[in-house]
Amino acid sequence: MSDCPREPEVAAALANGAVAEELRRHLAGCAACGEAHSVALDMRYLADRLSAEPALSAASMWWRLSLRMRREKARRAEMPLVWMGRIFYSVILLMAALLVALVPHFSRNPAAMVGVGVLIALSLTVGIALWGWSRSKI
Amino acid sequence: MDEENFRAFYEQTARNLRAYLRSMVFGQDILDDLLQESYFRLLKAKLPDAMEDSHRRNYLYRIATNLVHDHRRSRKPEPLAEEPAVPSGAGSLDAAQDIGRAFDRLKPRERDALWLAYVECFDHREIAAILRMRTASIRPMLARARARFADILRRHGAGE
Repeated sequence: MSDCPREPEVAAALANGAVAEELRRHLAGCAACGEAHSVALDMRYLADRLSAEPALSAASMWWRLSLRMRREKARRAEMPLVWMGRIFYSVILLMAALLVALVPHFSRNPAAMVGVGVLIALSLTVGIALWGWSRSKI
Repeated sequence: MDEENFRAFYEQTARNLRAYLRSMVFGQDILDDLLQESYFRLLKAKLPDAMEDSHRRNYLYRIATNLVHDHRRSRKPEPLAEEPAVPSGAGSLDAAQDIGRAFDRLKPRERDALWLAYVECFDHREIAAILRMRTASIRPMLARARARFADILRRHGAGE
């Protein structure tokens, strides 16, 4: 069946609730538009039935979406801290590996040992604080 | 978009969009998730306040259609169109159910196009934008979909 350039008018006319007399005459003589009319009627009937099911109220949807937006905003705001934490843990691991490698050299120098001890204590404090902060977000 | 504008836009579009999604996806459980996700992505897009509602509606349907396509890709294949989804001798069934079953036998793209054209009354250019197709492809696809749909209904009515 060939199509007809007037076919889009059929759906528009049905949507407006009125098929003009001139278009009605065209429908009677045009197989493509006649088929479009019949299909459009079926589709609209189906749509009416499906849209009769209640959707969530606008207020309820707005509340849900606002909540999601706020959560997403909070997650985005936390991202720099999360990355800082990851970088910090990586640096700690690297430093630990370095210290293990250098311990034989430091053992002969008490000042260096104190320095290393302070560094470890400082790193542990920051690490525990970060860990505690990340746990509080769960 | 502020709350007042959102509510007005939602009141205008939610029922129809839900019906569109309902006709496209199988399973009630996913339906409201897709509806919510569509509006969420619309809000996140931060469209200009001055945008016309018709354009915003177009954008919303584009989001919803993409979500439906993603959903289709992520689940197991739907029944083939040739499978007997429409039971024979179902004349006593509700007419909308018959139409719905015939509609379900179409290819997903055909379903999208028929709904957008005949329920939402989008023009071919808008349908092409929503379905990410060429405008020139819409008219022949609609004609094919219409013919197949009419044929399924005819055969079903004749007691296939």
